[in-house]
Amino acid sequence: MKHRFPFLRDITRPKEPVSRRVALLALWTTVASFFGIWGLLTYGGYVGGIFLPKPHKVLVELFNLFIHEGFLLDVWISTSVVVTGFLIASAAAIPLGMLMGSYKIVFAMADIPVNFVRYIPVSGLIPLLILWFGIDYAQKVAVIAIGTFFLEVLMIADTSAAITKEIVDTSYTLGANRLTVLTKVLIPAALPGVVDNLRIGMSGAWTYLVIAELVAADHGIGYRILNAMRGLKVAEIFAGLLTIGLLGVLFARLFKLILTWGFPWYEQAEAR
Amino acid sequence: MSRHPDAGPPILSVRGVSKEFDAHGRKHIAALSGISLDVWQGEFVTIVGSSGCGKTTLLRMIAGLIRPTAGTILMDGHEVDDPGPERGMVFQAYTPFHWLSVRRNVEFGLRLTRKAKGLPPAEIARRAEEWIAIVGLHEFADVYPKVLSGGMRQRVAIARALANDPEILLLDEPFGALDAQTRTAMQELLVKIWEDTHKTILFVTHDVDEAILLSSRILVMAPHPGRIVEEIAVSLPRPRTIDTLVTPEFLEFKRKILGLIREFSMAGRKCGP
Ligand SMILES: Nc1ncnc2c1ncn2[C@@H]1O[C@H](COP(=O)(O)OP(=O)(O)O)[C@@H](O)[C@H]1O
Ligand SMILES: [Mg+2]
Repeated sequence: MKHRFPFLRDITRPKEPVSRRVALLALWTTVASFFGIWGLLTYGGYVGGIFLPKPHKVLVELFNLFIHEGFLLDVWISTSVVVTGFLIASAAAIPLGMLMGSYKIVFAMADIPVNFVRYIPVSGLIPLLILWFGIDYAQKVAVIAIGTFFLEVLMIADTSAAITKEIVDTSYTLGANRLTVLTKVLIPAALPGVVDNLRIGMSGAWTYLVIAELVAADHGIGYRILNAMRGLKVAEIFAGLLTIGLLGVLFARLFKLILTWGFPWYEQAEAR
Repeated sequence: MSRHPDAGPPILSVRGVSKEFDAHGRKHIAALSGISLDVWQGEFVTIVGSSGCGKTTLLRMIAGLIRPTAGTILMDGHEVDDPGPERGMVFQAYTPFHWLSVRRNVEFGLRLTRKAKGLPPAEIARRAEEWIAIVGLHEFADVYPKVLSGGMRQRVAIARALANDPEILLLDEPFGALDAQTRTAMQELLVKIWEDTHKTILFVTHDVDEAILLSSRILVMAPHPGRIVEEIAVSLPRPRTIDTLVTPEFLEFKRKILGLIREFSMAGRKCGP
């Protein structure tokens, strides 16, 4: 049977792959609709400028921030806080998560305590963190590290737990022992999944940034956003948010590159 | 219970083995009860029985992956306590190490035990190459398992187990997830390997045809609790092909085994779940 719109028929079939060109077109459709609706609401005069700035004002503001107000320094400081917090969190979450997912005894020790702490909002810990770390760099890194650690550790535990018992048992019957099963099987098998967990951890780290810069910051993207809010400089708020979003896309790409280049054997590598 | 023409001691001997599992605080489930069997060097023995009668549990105990509740398992006269490379195993689930190429998969065991066995790297490479060729994966030696079909993945698992040169190969329904054509090809491959190498094989299946086609001896299991109810020497001449499936002798074996399985699964209902 001949379909009247073969293109429509193809793209509405669940799980059917689409070509790179169509994917790119789809992306641009989203971006264009976003700016289209935004433009319609603002240039059409439906929403006032103090609630929603006109798109070009945000771009002008972004330009202004980077050229005249040293915004690049804020971006650098925020990025370094986020990356430091993320690295500290991951350095702890990777081993603990892998141990939790691989050894039932570690899981029994850590599962309920980790969940307990995870449900405490990081913002609620801030007074404590100020007491412990002061109000400078260390405090901000701590907020991000703690938030990211608890986000990552259970994901990494799940990734490690998903390695089947048959895989582990097979390696025992091939002569592996307790140590080699860990180094030659459990760790290499979990690694790409862990990288993917870190990608989500990194996105979490950025969401904690504004919370981290709530307190006594004098630099940083989050600080700029909060400051702009006090002055009701709505275009500057949007410029800050846009910057965080773009950095997020950049980091997501980076993790995807690590996955596809570092783990060519990974079955899900293409799907993401 | 086994009588065997050649008088030497069996390489594998299971003596009065039982296994109970804890079922979530409820009372213990007897998965296996009083299992005894012997396997001699060079035999192809198949354990056949319906799903859930404890075949996997028995094989895992022989592999040393789980411990019996009672009884002993002897390998070359030594009590089995832990898994070891002299008892290779292939599972029904696909188990290629997906982060390693086919070649590295097949070399895996040899590299692990290299020091103990004093194997030079060239010998490891040679043996891997040989087994990759035997299972017909020569063209795929350097690809990752993600591009392989189910049948090819099981070929990797078999080559990997055999390259390690185990004294006995334990196979737990290795072809259970394959389509009929692939399964037939794999059965022929396995028989050919067995005829060429005279490896000792202990094979587990619920497929009666498969059991008769492959083995020199069949142990029939019944469920609730899992036990061996009959031992049958398969006297059919080899090579056994598709045509063997319709010979009166084959059908006689099949009728007998199916009859046993049916009889005991009916009887088992009374005490089973
Ligand atoms: N780890 C386990 N915990 C509890 N019960 C189990 C476990 N493994 C197997 N069993 C039970 O033991 C019986 C035999 O299982 P299994 O050996 O897998 O049978 P088969 O391989 O013949 O299908 C089944 O009733 C199964 O539910
Ligand atoms: Mg089974």
